[in-house]
Amino acid sequence: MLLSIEPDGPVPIYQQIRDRIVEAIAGGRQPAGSGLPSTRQLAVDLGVNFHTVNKSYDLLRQEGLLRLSRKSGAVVQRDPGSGPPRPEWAQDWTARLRTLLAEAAAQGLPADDIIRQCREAVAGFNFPPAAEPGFGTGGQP
Amino acid sequence: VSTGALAGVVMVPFIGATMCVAPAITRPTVPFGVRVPAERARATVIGQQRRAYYGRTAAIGICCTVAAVLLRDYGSWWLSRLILLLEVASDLGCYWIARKKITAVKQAENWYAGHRQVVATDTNWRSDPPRFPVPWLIPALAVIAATVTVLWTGLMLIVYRSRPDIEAADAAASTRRYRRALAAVTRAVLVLLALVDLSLLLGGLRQWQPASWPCPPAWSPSPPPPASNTGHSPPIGHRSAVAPAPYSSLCAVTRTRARVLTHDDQSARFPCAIVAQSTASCV
Repeated sequence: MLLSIEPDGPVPIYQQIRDRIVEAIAGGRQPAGSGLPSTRQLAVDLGVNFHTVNKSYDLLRQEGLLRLSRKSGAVVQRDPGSGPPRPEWAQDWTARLRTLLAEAAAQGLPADDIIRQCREAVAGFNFPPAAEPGFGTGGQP
Repeated sequence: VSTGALAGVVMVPFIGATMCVAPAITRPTVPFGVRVPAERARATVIGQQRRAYYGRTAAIGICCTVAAVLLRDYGSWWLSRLILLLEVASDLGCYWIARKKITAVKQAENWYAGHRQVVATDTNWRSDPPRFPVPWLIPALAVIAATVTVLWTGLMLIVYRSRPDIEAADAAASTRRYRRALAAVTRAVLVLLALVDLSLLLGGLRQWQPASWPCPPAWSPSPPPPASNTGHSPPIGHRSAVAPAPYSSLCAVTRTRARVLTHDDQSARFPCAIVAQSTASCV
C-alpha cells in the first residue's frame, strides 16, 4: 500500500494516516488479515513523530478496523467482506455523512452532482460480489 | 616505496575524482542534498554552485595527489592517510558550502510557494519486504573460504620454514618448547580453519538441497598411505573413505593434494590430514 501524506496540509497528520489506511482497506489494497508496519517503522518512513502514527493506529483500533498486539503487530481486522458493522457505529456514520452532504448542499452543489460523486467514490471500493451496491438504481440516494 | 604509500598515492586521486563527480550523479531535483521543485532544477544558483564545487574539489584533488606523490618516500605510514583525510574533509566542506548557499536562496525566494509537498511511503516494504537472495551469496562465501584456507596454509608453511625462536641459554629445552608450541598452534589454527570452512559449507548446503544424492558406483576407498609415511600424519585415505558419497570426486582431489604435501613435508611433520580436511570442506 502506498501511503502519502501532506505534512503542511490543513488536516492533522494522524488524521491523514488514518484516512489513507481506511481508503486502502475499502479499496481492497489492505484486506483483512494483512499486516501494517510498526508504528516506529512507519514514523521513520514518513518522517513524523512516533506518537503521531501511534495516535492513528489507536484511532483505527477504536473503530474496530485494526488489531494491535505485541506478537503480530498491527493487523487489519475488517474489510468490505467482513459483514455489517456495529449498529452504533452505523448511526454515528450516518450523522457524519449528513453533515458532509449538508456542506455540499450549503455550498450550492447540485443534488445530481452530489449523487454522481458519491457513486464514483463507491465504485472505487472493493465490495464482495454478494454485496454489490445498488446505489442510485432506484432513484433514491 | 612502501605498500601503504603506494596505496595512498592511488587512493588520493581516486577519492578526489569520486568526490568531484558525486553531485553529477545525484537527482537534478536534489542538488547537494537540497530538495527543489522540478522547474527550479536549472536555477542559476544551482549551476553556479555546481561549477564552484567542481573547481574547488578538482583543485583540492590535484594538490593532494601532488602532495601524496612528492611525500611518498617521506614520513611514516600515516602520512598518506592524513593527506587522504584532509582531502575528504576539504571536499565535504565544499559540499557543505554549496548546500548552504542553495538552501539560503531556496528559502529567500520561497521556491515551494504554491506547491503541495507530499510524503509517500510503501507500507509493503515493511510488512512484506523482498527476500535477501541468500543463495547468490554462497559463491562469494566459497571464494572467501578458499582464499582464507589457501592464505592461512601458506602462512603456516612459511612459519614452519622460518627460523625458530631459540634461547641461547637453554637451547635444548627452548627448542623442544618451540616445536611443541608450533605443532599445537598450527593444529589449532588449521582445525579452526576447517571449522570455519565447514560452517560455510553447511550453510551453503542448507540452501542447495538436491532432490537426491548421487552415489557413484565406482567409488572406492583410497589406497593405503605410502611406506615413506613416518606415522606422524594420520592415514589420509581412511579419512577420505568416510566422506559422504557426493564428495567422492572432491576427496580424490583432496587425497592427491594431501599426498603431495606428505611427500614434501615429511621432515617437518606438517599435519597434512588436517590440511586435507580443511581443503575438502572449502572447495
